[in-house]
Amino acid sequence: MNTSSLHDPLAAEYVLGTLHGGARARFVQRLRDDALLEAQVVYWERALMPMAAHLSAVPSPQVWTAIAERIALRQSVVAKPGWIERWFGVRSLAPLAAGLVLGVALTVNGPRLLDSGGADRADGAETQLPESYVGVLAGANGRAGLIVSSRRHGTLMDIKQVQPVAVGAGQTLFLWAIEADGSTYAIGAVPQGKFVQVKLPKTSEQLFGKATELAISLEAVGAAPAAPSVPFVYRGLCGKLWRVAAPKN
Amino acid sequence: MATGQPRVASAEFAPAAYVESGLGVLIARVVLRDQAAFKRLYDATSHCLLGIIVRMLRDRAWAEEVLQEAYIALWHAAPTYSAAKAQPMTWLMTIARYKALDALRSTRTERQHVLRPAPAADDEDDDSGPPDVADERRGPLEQLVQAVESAQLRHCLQALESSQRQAISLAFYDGLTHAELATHMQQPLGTVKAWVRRGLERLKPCLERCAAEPRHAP
Repeated sequence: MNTSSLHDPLAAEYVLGTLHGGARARFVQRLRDDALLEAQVVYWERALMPMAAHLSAVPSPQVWTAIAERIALRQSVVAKPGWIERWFGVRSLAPLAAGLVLGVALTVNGPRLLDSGGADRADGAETQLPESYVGVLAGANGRAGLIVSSRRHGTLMDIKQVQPVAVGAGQTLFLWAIEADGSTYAIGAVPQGKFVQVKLPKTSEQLFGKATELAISLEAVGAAPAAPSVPFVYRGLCGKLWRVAAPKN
Repeated sequence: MATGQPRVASAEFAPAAYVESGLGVLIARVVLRDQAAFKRLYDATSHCLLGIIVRMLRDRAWAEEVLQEAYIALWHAAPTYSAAKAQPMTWLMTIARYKALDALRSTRTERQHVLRPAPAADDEDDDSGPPDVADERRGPLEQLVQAVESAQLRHCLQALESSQRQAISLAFYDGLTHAELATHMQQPLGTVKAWVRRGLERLKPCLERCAAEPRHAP
């Protein structure tokens, strides 16, 4: 990008590394709210980093071992209490997940709270939506990628693909359920499309009763894999949208 | 397991673009907490990032600690990566460089390690391995600049006055501050500050000229 009319020498010195101490801290502060300044930093990063492209040193094997241990440790630590984080996998997505859950809760409870004096409202009143399983699955960039919903005791599932992924020839999207212990089980292939409806082999309750997450991978057309053969392209919460907790199976 | 294992989206990428696009795909997988993809990203890029860090820190063990911190940071920062803003490798290199700068700044006293001899050259590329900074007038720092793979950047660096080029190279490759540059180059602080600033000011129009007229670039 052409930033010649917006030249801020501090941007170049920040990237070079000569900006330090208080000056650097003040610059970083400005950088948070100033998109033009950030663009200049990006310009200089792109301009100067090729200076280092030919440097090379082979790390000892212990470096990766240490990194892998720290990642695994962190994932096992957050697995129990941090369910939102674990479902979405990253801390930065937790607000999104919390917002989704909160949004759902308010949608369900809001009208009832406003109508709490209504004579025709008994305990266990109906929710706005029928008892359903819902999933908002994140795509690779962390944003909502695909939304699924199905009635709790129904056998049809709606799939809205918010953010499409490239599906190669001979491949298909393939839906998985993930249990709390991380084990996956196959649900089946699902077609591409902005909004499609598929017939489930069993009721949602039978298929997703134990699921805490849903995910989609790309598999070979006609394959019946026991486990995903490639990383997931979408992954997210499997929400149970009814007032009474699902019976523990 | 089915026969004919699918390969994710590989058909999208022309072979020439695959390496860089491949890193982008790996980063996208890392966002989905794919540890195997993270290992592949590490295997493809760690030698370059360690080269940057080891050159700046001049201490192999310390550099490997910082490399570890850089990849942990990458694991967490992957969702913030924007392909629209930076090539994957540029982004990875900036994270490594800022980590190395933080490490230098956090332990700075008099930075005795700056003038310490380089570690034993046990790296792949002994030729361009970390040279002794004190010797850069006799060549090694200049050799680093001459080895820059981008012809445009190399041309623009070589078009600078040698004092400007030396100040910028020392700051970039060795992470020296203005004060350290002044000590190291045995010049007043104001002089080296001006060299850095003017050098960067001259670099920019040169790079933009080269980008605008690639045919005329060397």
